[in-house]
Amino acid sequence: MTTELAEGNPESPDEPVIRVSDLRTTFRERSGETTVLDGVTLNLGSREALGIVGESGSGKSMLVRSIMGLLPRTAKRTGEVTYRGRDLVGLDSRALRELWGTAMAMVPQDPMLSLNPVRRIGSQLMEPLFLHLKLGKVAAHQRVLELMGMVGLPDPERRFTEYPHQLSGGMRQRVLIAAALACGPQVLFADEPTTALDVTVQAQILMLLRNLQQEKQMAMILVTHDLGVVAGCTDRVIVMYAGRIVEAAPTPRLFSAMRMPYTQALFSSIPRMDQPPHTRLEIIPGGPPDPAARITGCRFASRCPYVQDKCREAEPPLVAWEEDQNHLYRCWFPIEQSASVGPVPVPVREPSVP
Amino acid sequence: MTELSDERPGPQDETLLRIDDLVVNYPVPHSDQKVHAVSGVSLEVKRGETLGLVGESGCGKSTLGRALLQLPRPTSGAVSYEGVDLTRLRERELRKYRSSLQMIFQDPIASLNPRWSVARIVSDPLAVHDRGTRQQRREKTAEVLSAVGLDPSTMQERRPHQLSGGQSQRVAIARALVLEPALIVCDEPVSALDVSVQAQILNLLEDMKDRYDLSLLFISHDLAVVHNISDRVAVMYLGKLCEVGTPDAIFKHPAHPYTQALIRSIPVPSPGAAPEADEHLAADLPSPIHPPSGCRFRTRCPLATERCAAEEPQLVRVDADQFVACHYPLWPAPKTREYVPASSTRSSNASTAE
Repeated sequence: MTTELAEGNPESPDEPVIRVSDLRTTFRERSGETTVLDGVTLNLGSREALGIVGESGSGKSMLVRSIMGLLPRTAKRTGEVTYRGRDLVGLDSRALRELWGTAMAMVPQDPMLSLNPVRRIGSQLMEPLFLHLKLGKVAAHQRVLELMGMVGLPDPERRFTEYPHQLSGGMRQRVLIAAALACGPQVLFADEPTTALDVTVQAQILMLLRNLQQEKQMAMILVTHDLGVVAGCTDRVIVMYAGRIVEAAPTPRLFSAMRMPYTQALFSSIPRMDQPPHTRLEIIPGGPPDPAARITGCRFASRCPYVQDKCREAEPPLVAWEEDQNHLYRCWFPIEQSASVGPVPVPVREPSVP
Repeated sequence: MTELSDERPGPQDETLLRIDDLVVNYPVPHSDQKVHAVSGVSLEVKRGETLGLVGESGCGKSTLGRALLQLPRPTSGAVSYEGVDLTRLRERELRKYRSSLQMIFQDPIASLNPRWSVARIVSDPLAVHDRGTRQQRREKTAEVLSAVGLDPSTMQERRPHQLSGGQSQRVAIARALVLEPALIVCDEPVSALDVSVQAQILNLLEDMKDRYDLSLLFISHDLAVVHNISDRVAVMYLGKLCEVGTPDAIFKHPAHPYTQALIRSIPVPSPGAAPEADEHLAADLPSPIHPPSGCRFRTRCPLATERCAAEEPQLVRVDADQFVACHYPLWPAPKTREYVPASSTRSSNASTAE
């Protein structure tokens, strides 16, 4: 399937800053071609916080890298990616480098590995200011202190002259957020920004990102494997599976009315505090399909508890739910929700019990 | 200082492993200072129970788990298994207990020898402990591989790089099970896994516990996971226990301010439920080289008073299934609280520093 339904585009509440249309990313490998993203279409509103959720290998990080143009040489992008109407796919690395930092910036996953260990924090934070904003030394110093205050780093003057090893993980992540914000980007990409952090620090970093996003009126894409993380700090969620968007909805809507069996399965496999101890967790049998394999039909069919013959024969398109045009799903037999009038899934086999 | 003996959490009769006033200090290189990783922990693991151990990174939870297995040897205190104090045994005598106490680790791929086949990895402990004939070892290996959900005929010749993260963790569990241990120390066994795989491994651990009559010490920073799998939970902070109790007691009415802060910071997978960033917790974990006097949590505690700096709180019973080390516990509600002092110690290990 090469094109998505036109009306299936996730509509953003406001003017999109990034438009992605039928994006396909493939890797050349010795064994052949591997497709990591297949026909992804989405719009990102200019003040929207979008969560992208999926398991390892679902293509969620690749989507961010494909939008930013941060792909290795063996990768190939086709389709359309635009930033404020400007095409990004055809840009060379030099033109892209001017956009990184000023238009689009990234907060990486591992704060331990993303700072230069032998340079002082201050000098690392001043670098983008020299490069992009052409600030002088005094102005850059002043701006770095402001940035440090903005991300809640205590005692900025002291931190300025310290080295990364003198900071805790949470503080290093704050430094990296300051670095990402240094040149006032319009879009902030955060790829699993809290995975390497403790739960107490995680909450602080997530709230910081959400507050800064709203305060600076930026767009944000938050990539995570944790449905709990997106629940509290995004406006809309996209669920990815095997290189495709399988469900997209405003965050409250997604949690109250999941339609895609995969989303439901992902949600049920999380241990929850409101269940009694030793509650048996629901598992998704099997594993995601090999990205090199050609699959006809729904990519989730082999693991889906509600699978029917039709699911194996043809891949369902990403369609909007008639009740809510902002809620898209990719399923022939979406999960019946109490308020809806969609088709009712008929389980033909029980979810396999281990 | 002994924490308790009279009111030690857990009944005395079915004790499998008993830790008394365990202390682990690490030397700081090139100085006379010490890292106080574990400072006087007393705890019991009952036969057939899963004891969850939670805390932030650096709180000493992994050190405690390893010290039970004498890896490394604790600085002082006792670890009694079936009435034998393991800390007093010589390496050779200790060996026969090693088969009863096994461990699985966080990174499943890094904990397997990349050059060995799955069959060799799993059967190696049998060879080391000189159990059975070759044929018997082969049969036992096949049996545990099937038990952990891996088909021996297809899996046993594979090497770790051919396994997924979930399969690798199953192999690590099979290796721990092959000697039929009584206790497995699980150090963050699901932290590196996707949620769907995490659910499979958690269910597997529950099944294995029943099938092989195991006790588990389950170390994790993830409170929802610990809540799901544990019969009792111990919360650790900076080398000391803050709170011990059943998951129901601890998570429904935490008595220690630290436990409460931890619970509040969990991201909940429901919309609008933003994790609470506790500003007191924004302060960093104090250095374990110079831990605070009195209550170690007082530097980050919203309720701390002078008493907390002067006097170290002891672990006391506040409810049938709940013990807390706090001068101002949150449960039972402060007005109705009948304070039970810890002074009535029937010191068992005679190491009480009066």
